[in-house]
Amino acid sequence: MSILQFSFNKHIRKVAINFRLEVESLDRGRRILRKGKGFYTGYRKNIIELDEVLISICIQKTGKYQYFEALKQAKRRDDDIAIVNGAFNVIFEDGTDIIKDIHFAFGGMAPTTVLAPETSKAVIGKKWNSEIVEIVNQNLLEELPLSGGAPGGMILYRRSLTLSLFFKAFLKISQSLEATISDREPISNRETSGADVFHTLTPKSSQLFEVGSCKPLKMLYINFIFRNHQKVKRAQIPCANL
Amino acid sequence: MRKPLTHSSAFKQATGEAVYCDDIPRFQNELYLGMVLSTKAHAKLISVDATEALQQPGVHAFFSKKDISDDANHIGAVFHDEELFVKDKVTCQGQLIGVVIAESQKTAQRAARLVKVVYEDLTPIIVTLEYAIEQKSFFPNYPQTIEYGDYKKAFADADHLIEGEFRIGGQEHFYLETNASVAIPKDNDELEIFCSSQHPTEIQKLAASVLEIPVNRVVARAKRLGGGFGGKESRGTLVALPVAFAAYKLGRPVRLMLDRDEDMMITGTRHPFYFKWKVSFTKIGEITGIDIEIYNNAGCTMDLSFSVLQRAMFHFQCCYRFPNVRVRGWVCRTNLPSNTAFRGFGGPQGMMAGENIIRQVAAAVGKDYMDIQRLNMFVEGDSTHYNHKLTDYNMMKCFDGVIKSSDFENRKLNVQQFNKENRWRKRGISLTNTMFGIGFTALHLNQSGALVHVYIDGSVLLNHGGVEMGQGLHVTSLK
Repeated sequence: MSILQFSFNKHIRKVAINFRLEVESLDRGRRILRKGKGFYTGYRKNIIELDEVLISICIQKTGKYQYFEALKQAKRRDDDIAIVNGAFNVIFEDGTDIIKDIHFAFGGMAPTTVLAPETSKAVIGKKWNSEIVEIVNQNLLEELPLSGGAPGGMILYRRSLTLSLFFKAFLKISQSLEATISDREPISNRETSGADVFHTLTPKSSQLFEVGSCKPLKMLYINFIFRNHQKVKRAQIPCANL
Repeated sequence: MRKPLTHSSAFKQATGEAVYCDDIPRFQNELYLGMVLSTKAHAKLISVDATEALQQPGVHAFFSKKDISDDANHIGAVFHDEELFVKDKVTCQGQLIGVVIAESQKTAQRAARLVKVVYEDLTPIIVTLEYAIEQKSFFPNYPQTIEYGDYKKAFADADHLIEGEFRIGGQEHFYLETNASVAIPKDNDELEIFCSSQHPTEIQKLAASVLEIPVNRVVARAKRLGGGFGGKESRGTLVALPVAFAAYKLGRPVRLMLDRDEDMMITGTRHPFYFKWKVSFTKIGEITGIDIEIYNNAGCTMDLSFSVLQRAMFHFQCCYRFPNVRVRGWVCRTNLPSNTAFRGFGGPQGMMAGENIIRQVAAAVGKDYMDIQRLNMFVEGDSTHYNHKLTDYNMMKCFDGVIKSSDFENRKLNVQQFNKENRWRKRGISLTNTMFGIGFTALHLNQSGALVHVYIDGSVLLNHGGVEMGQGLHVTSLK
């Protein structure tokens, strides 16, 4: 469920996980589209025809030894196009921290979402530890180059974001593994908060009214309503000398 | 006066019933204006051909420099250094070359794109302040200088002397309501203009000037704005004047509300600034003198840039005592849309530079920046470098009060602790002072009048020159 907190980067998650789309047109009937190369044909374009309606989306359930992380860096926290987003889908050998299969998907590094299959190959069969971070970094830099004049600019920043997003996912998945696998060396306490994501707080406000003949600095009781916590807190506020 | 009143505009705004400029219902014979904008930053205008545009169904007219006298074509906020329609030379992208008047927005915009403009490229194209300084692309009569005390002596006697530079970029105003205007010809020689302008008087004055009619024939009205932030103080003319011009020429109502991309392209931003400074101070970090150069990026015309620069020249000292000062300011001409007023009007940029200097001094003497703030803060009776004697000066009280009420010291310790304990996630906390002069530096602007009518049924009508743009002017007027 944790991946559903993001209402954005649908594409990126679809590319990183196994999914199947069922579409139907009045003239040609139903057909099933599978994930993989060729689904996206260009910027915001895919192989679904104009006269086809989406009937269903089938997404494989996450397995017991599978971890999925989707992350996004954008200028605004809500409703904004990502600068770079990444989704990481890792399946471990049963009961171990040895990588059985792994998919890296990135948005913002090309006109369409891209996978990094060479990077995946380089780490399959390896243990999930700090060594693979180095291997992934090396491979991602080679596999996802951006030319100096790539549309969107911020070339160095975007390239480094692919690494940062993976590292964030690495920290998160490492912490999950610690809970299930006994002989893992834990991530140090100084590093754990690197896996945290931002949660938008509901904005709150209050309006101050003077009651009666209010002298400066007389105390008034105001209710501050913290909607996101579903509780009401009383605060003592000096009355503003309006 | 002190009784609480609900923000009187709030109900209409919250329910969506408030009528903004473009919400005014369409008039029966109304036309829409499409802009033909320059696509070059610096070029000679060779030819403008609207033949194809005029052949489109629904297109009524095309106006350009040919339809207006040279005198009437000159517009501007204070200095008339802009043209309603470009005559010979474009100096930024998004300058108005002509207007297409058509029956709908779509037709007008499509037809405007069919107008063929031929340019001949000119050099240089200046965008950045650095390049403007290198090319000496300054407006005439700059630098302006303010000298106070003897900075040279202070430098000679100083324990420490450090140099530095500081840059700050511009921002788009991004009001929710883009610039809009509807002009309605009245009688046969009058014009009523509804505009989303912070300065309807200027619209009235300049509309009369481009139409070559007396000001008393023009009424400019602004009921409310969906935000202005300075972006509609002088740049509102970019929309209102062509609309007024077309409406008057055709004798039919004409409307234009900019699309967001058009608005962002043509209306300018906050002024980017570049500061270069040299400051002297004692061993303990007490500032003794400063020599500072201030440059702002005005864009292609003056607009209000001279005044924005002046604010920065006044406010770079923030609330700190610089006993010996030389400050020099330059307004730089570049090939960008003319930059304009934006909340603070150069003050924030200046104060940022001043705070930066305080922090550099702190670093140089190895002290906490707040000690340096406290050490150099103005006290009662001090004088600023623009000869303003500070009386009833409560800055230190305010500073201490904020530190106490925000529990600053404890929070700072918590932040330091958090940062020590977390390698990848960091927090920060900072305290910055501001001191800002209220009012216009052109002193005659600091006045206003109002007219109150009391009708026989007891109701009251208040006329005033203010524009409600979210600041609660109506509720203040009611009080």
